[in-house]
Amino acid sequence: MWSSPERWSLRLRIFLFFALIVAVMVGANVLAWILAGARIAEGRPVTATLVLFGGAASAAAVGTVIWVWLKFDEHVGRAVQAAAVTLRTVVHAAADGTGPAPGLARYLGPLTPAVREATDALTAARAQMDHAVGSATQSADARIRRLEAVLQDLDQGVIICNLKHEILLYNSKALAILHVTGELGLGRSLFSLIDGRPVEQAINRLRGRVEGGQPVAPGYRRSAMFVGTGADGETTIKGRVSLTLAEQDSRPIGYALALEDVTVELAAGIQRDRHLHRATEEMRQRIANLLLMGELLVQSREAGSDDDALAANAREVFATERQRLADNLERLERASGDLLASAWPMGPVFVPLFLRHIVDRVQDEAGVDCSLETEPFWIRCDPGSLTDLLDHLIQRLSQLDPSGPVDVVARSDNQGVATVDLAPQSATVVTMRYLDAWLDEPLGAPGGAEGITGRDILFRHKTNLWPITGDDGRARVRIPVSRTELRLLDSAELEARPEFYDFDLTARVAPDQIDDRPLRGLSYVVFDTETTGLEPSRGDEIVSIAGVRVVNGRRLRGEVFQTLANPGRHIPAASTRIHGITDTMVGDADPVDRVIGRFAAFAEGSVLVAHNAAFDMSFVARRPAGAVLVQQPVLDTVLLAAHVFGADQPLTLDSLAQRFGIEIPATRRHTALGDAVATADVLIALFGLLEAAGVRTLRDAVDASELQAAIRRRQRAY
Amino acid sequence: MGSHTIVLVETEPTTRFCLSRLLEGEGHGVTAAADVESALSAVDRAAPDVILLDGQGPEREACAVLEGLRSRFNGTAPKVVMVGTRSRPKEGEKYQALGADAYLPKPFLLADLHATLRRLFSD
Repeated sequence: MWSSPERWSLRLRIFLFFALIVAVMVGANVLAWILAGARIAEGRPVTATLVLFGGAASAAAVGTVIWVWLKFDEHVGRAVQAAAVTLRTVVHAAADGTGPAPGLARYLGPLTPAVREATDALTAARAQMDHAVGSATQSADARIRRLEAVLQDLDQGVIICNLKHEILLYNSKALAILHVTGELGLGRSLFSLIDGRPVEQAINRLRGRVEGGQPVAPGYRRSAMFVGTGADGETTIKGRVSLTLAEQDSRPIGYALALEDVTVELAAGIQRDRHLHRATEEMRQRIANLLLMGELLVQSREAGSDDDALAANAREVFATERQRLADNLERLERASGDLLASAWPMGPVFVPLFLRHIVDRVQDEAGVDCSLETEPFWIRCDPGSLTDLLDHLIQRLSQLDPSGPVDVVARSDNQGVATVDLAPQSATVVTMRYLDAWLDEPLGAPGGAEGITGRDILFRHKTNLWPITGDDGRARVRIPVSRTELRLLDSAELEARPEFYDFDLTARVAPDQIDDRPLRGLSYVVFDTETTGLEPSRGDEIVSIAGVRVVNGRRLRGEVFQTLANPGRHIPAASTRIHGITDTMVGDADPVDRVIGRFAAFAEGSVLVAHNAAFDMSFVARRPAGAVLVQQPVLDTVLLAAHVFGADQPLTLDSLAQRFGIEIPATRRHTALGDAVATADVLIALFGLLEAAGVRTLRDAVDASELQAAIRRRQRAY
Repeated sequence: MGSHTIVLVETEPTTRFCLSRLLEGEGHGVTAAADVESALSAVDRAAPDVILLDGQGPEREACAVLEGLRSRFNGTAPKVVMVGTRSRPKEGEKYQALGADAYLPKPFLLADLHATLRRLFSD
């Protein structure tokens, strides 16, 4: 028990401290009395002697008390405070607790192990719960991933919004239709992307119907068509909007949009209407002239006159009117052909796969032998009906010439002319007489159309077919097809990331005043900059800026802003050593102003957050493009952490990350994106601690930050 | 059927030629014109009781003639028959609202024109 003071119990130590105070007081007093008694006996003045020795005894007592207090403050007060901070961090921020620093907690006795036990137990319980929740949500996640996959593959744009028109979900096709390049924000207003009026009107009509309880056929009552324009004013968008109703009470909580870009389609329709209209009017005029001339001839004959001039005139009129009628009919035919063809769903088809499928089908189902030789290219067609036609022709050719396989040959030249040839083995047999007969035969009923013939299908594809003699002297049936270029998917579509949605926004019926909204429910853009140096006032500039979005307390992995900027000046080697960005790397980058403008668009409507925000904002605010950003609310993770942990705690990004168990990969530390991501994770970890400290709304957070900023300013002044 | 004094305003030369010859053959007095100005001066000269007005040219012109006519006559205006290549019912309604008495879509036969005139003059 007496071996080492560190192993004494806390109670014994406290007892010993107080015993020490008593012992020193008693000892000092006794000593003072004895010494004072002796001096007085020697004849020294009584009062002066008593004052001297009484004072010395008091000083010894006071010194002891002060010493004991210092020890208590160092080993108990501060250690208890540190333990409390640790406990709080573990409880509210879900970090791993390591207990107060061992040097401080040496004399706390059973408290340190107790704290450690508590935090361990909490961490273990949390891990267990996380595991349970994790496995429970795994199947839900899988379902959501399937939904995402389906959405990304849809040829229609899909956007889901809440009733405040904030975007909860979108797919990449929607981005393409709305001409947004990769930086559409969840929680942003739909109406910044699309002219809102037609959508709003459709929604109001639907709400009127649903809320008014108007009886409408099921399925139809919640959706309506609209035609509108994109925010660029140039894209015409056709879409259907459907109300989403709450499960419990059928109250509207949001809506889904299915979008199609019909700019080209509509323009073609208008053009076609115009052609048709002009052609009919023209025909009326031509026919009127012919009839009137006929009547005039009849009248002249009835009158018994023999007007040679009239006869010559009539012949001329008949000739010119005939020509004009013929031209018109041709125009009309073309317009009606377009009409039919465009009503049929045509799409791009990759020829090798398409023909392989047909050849296999003919071989398997009809037992017809054929071979395939094709170049890789795309055509625009209705694959269903074209398959039926080719299948039919191959079978007929094989019946006509069973001597060998039918060769299917697809070619495409540089001029965009593409053909599919069907070649039987013998040289002489294919004539137009056969082909005409085959084309008139009905071919089953694709798409429910009755008695559709090969001729209909050719007409629909605006093509025809005829026999030719190939280079090898063999007869072939030639079918020209219309080639198309398939637009390659751009990187945004290829990297379709999961977080295109946040359904929690549906429930976010936020007060209009952003200041009073709960912190966790706000939409944040957490950003970081790398710069040429530390002094914007001396011409230092941004060389890189990155931002990530935090919505509903979650960092969205799919929405990242990251770019280099050309500072228009030399980057000092000392700065390059920190962030690794060189003059060459920023050579092709956009100038700072344009980069800030793009960032401002990304951050529109969000609360800005940075670690030591004043530094980053000082670079941004100096630029005209940053003017918008300066208007937005800004939070600083340094100040927020100071409010939670106290200003005397280490508050660097590294130490906060360590405290919260956030890992910053060494390769990403001091990159704008790496630091922005770490800052975002620190912000999310701080939410719980801030709430526990009574900071619940943006207003609270701004107030707390201002207080901390004032404290820091005062500290710096000393 | 009585004979009428007719001003024929028609931009299409063949129609103009045939129609005026046909109407003359029927015993009507016909003055033909190809544009607004000559049409209005023909109206001033001939004092017609029927005006056949082609609505096929630029719409403005037909309307200009109709308006010019309205300012020339009070009460005993000549009957105006619009002739045009559009068949939609709204077209006839529009021209009637602008002051025409009837609309005759092309193509038509002389008999159709007679029927229209009979109807107009029997009122």
